[in-house]
Amino acid sequence: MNKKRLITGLLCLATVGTMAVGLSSCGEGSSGDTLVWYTFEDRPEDLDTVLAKANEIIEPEIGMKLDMQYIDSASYQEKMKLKMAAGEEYDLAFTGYINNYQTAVSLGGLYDITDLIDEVGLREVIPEFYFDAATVDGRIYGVPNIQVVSNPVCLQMDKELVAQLGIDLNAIQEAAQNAKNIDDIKAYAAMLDDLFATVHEAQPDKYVYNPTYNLITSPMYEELLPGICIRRDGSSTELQKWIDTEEWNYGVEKIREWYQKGYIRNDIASKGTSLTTNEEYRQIIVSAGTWKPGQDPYVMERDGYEPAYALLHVPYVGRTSALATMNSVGANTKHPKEAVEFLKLINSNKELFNIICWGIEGVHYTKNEDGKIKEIENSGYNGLGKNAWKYGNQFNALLLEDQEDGIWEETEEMNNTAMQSPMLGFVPDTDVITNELANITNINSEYTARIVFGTEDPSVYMDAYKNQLESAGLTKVLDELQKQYDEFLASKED
Amino acid sequence: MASKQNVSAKSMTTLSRKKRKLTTSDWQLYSLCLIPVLLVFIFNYIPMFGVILAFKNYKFNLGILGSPWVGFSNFEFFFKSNVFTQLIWNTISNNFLFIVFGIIASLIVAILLFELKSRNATKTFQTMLITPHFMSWVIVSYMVYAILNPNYGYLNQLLALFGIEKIDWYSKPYAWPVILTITSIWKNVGMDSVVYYASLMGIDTSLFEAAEVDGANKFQRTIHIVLPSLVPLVTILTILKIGGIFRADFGLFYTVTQDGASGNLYETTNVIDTYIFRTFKDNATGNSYGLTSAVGLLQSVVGMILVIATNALSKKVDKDLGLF
Repeated sequence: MNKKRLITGLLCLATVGTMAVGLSSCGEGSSGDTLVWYTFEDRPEDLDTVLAKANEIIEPEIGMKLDMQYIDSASYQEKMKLKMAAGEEYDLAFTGYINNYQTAVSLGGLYDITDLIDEVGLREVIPEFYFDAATVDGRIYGVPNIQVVSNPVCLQMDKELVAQLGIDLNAIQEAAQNAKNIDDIKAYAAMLDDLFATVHEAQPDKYVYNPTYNLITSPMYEELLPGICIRRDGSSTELQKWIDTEEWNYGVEKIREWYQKGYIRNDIASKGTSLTTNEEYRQIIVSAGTWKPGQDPYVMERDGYEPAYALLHVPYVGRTSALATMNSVGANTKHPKEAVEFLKLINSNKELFNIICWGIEGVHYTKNEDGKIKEIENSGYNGLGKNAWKYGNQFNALLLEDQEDGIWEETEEMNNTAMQSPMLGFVPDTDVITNELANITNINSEYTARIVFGTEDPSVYMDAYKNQLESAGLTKVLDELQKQYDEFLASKED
Repeated sequence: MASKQNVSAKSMTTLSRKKRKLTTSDWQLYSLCLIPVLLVFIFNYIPMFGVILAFKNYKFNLGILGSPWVGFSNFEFFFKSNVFTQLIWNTISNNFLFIVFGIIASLIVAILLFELKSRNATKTFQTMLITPHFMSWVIVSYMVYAILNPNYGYLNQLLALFGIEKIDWYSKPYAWPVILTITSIWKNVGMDSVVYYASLMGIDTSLFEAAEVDGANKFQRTIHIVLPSLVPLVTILTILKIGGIFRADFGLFYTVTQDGASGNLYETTNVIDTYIFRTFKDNATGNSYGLTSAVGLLQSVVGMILVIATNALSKKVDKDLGLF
């Protein structure tokens, strides 16, 4: 009996003890004199050395040290949402295509830095249109990292194959870029038909085309929100429903035709369009993607050929392109001013930026005679500079050996001379049309296979699809957005 | 014999429900109980505070308490959804199939295992049947894909042998309630049958001996002894499962259908959980926390009502059946 009692007593103690350990391990935060910066990637082994070096520059400038926190990219989005919801006191975080900027703003997760931007003088180092894109209701919550924001949709093929089959990609590019109405689009689509037929005959065991982009509407339209689009060329201030444009309807018929002719893999509905391995990329003859200067080495590595392109529209800064890669200040930061000062520093100080990107010269990389970088393998700080757009102005990054000279200048030139979206800076307030948008999103995803991949004849489902959209409130969405857009245009003229 | 079994079941329940006097030497037992109770309180009751999110437009910077109240407007989104009836029907009908056929299958498996004489054979079969339970739905989804792929799936190759044309299963919505039911049973039957098997081990062996003396064959023994003795357990497990009938197994409906095969299969496989996920994964709206909490709360409330209703119903049939 006594022994039993002892055992139970011990059990109780052990359980309580475990709980105490569990509780005490919570609770760590940012310390007083460091800026905490969250970004995504596996934590580099030699991060501490690099940060020590970087802090030699940062500390004299803003009086604080930098601490970088790396979270693996698969869980970055979810972890940042939790940190925001828990009200953690971090100072900086990557926002954009992952940890979505607009969502974070609408949920109140970011610090309003509008006034600090002027106080610190950030506008001196970042062109104005980046801030236009990032403005929500007149306020700014993040600083876009300068990089390519004007990449056009393109068709990409093997240069050798193009020469061998005598394909004229330039003619396709010209037809697409000059398309102004449905007749132009039809002429351009006829050229695509010829192209697809030719390559299909030449390489019947490969897939002609993977429907990642809508080839028919891309030359002329930009999407605002699901179901709603506008002409890229700004020739009309009217928003339109996709289903009302002739080009979209024509595109649906075309994709069905291509699917039936076997240009698209017949298990696309269950397989989806996303490609993961190089082998999968190499099964596609005509790739649809986006183009940017200096991408050839990456394409060659992935697709296994030297590429030739047809750009389907001129370089174009879309409404949200500048929002893809940004850095924002956390809502509960204790050091908003220092955080914004740091953002100015990282975007203007090339030495600091390259330390963050590539590490320390002689330890993590060497420079060759042209001033280009060769990474030292297994140095514990490799490859981060390939994604320099995570940290700041990509044009300040040193080039790798295999990158061509002048690609940053070329990209900057392309950004600055690109056509700008008529909707640039327009951020619609969707609170009043939340339900309608949710419904439209759902209807669209229900018809993905049929409309985007062409697995069924449009005459079978098109009426039902359009009726569903209308009863989900597409017209209400259009009217509301048009009203907001008109107000936006009027305010721009003032 | 059925009535006899009922009598014994009745006497067992009265025994356990008899009030026992609390003695001082019981404190150890109760103190052991304290910790699970505390855990349930901390992890199941305190978080229920979060239910208020369903009535708020949640903003991070304002906090849960500071965010504005919006009444029932978060529920509107779901009720006004254009696929509302489809979602309810798909969720309930699919779950209904899983419950009915799941129970039948696991009963059959349990009885077959029970009839096996060799202990080794029982262990082997049990292990084989339980293994699928530990596989992630993502892995199962690719096993299903290997069978059903339109070009090189095993099933289509088999059909081709018989001269039947290949079928693209991923564009045939009406095949999927069947496919999903089979998949669900394949994955869960081993685990579910364990409970029934354990209960069968507890049957008084003298009943079987008596039946043997009376010349009953195996089938008669199963009908008259085995099944009646399982009725209370089946009822309890069914009631528990019906509590979850408004909740769909997300992994099954999302990954096994390959995300509804890009929309082709929504007609029969779009359920509440997948609908919510698809609506908010692209961040289409700002107040996703409020809207999703509202739907979650609705699922729980409906589940609770169904449990109480089923319990009342089964008690009406027989006073001793039922969970509480």
